Amino acid sequence: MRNLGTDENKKNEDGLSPELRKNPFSVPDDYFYTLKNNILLNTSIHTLSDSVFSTPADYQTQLTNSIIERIEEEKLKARISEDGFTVPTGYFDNLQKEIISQTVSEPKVIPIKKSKTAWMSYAAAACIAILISLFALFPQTQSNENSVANMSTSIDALPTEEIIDYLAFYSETGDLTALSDQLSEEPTNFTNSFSSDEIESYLENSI
Amino acid sequence: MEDALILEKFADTKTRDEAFGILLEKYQQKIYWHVRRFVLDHEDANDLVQDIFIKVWKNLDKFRADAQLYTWIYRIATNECITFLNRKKQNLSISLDDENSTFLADSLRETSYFNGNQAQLKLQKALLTLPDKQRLVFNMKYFDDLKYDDISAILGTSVGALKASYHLAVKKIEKFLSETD
Repeated sequence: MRNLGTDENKKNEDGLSPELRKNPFSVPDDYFYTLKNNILLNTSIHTLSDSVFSTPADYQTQLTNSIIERIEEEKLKARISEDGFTVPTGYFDNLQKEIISQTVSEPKVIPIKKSKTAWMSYAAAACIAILISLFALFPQTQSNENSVANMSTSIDALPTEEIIDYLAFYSETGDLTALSDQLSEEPTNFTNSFSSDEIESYLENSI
Repeated sequence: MEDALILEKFADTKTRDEAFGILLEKYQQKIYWHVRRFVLDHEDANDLVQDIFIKVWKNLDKFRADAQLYTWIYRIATNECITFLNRKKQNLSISLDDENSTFLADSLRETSYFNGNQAQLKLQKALLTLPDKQRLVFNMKYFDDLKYDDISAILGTSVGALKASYHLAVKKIEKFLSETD
């Protein structure tokens, strides 16, 4: 707008009084001085907050993903919130009693299994010892024919009196059986060698 | 009663039984449901819960207060559950490399203590397709509403790994549910 003079009474080109150009607004005293200080103060606060609070790299992306995952979870919970499992009536009341009964001072427990095992092992050892002694005294006839042959030979070599004495003092049935097997022949005149009284006496004493 | 007070009472032989009763009152249901959701069968859960609390009773005097009491109990419970399932897998000649327990679906059908609707049954079947540890994470977060820090203390896994595991579990379950609709 062209200024046509300083004469306030004259109208400018717009047809408006130049007085209208005067600023009608006012400000508080020292406003512009305090304004400057306020602006400077606010900028320093922002500077401080920028330096104190920071976020991890790529935080906003992570935050978005977390929120979406939470929403998915909420959708599932809205659909199915309970698991459907139940318990027998009064279960939890009895459960506590049952657990506590197991924690009452335990009596000293003598492990039965252990002593059973020990007894059994002793018994097993004794059986083995007996078996070994039996095998030693009564070797298997099937196993080794040579040893059987040797035994029969050695028995034949024994004097008859010794065999009779042995049998008189040791009444092992097995011995009798083994010895009778080794006898080469039965005496045919056996019954004629002894009187009836002698046989009767023998039978009375051996039964 | 605060856990610290329970421990203090337990340390005193005169108040030990009382303390243990209070501990049972406080945690037995939580532990039961934690176990039950993992092994599914009520009888199995019952046996396990009793074994767990007997272990707690035997070892509570050795518990160091550097961990939370309930995360310690949960840890015992979780280890017992995993051992139980591994033993069951061995008995069924299932390889321990099979990380999930789909064989439990049979006990889900047979158990008389399941009153869930079709959707709940489907959810349990979906859970059985997850690896056991992931299923544990899901159960603890979804049903027990445990914090990740607590789950981390229980399982010895980092919070980040747990978060990833949980959200993967949610996705797998949603996929299973939508495919079987």
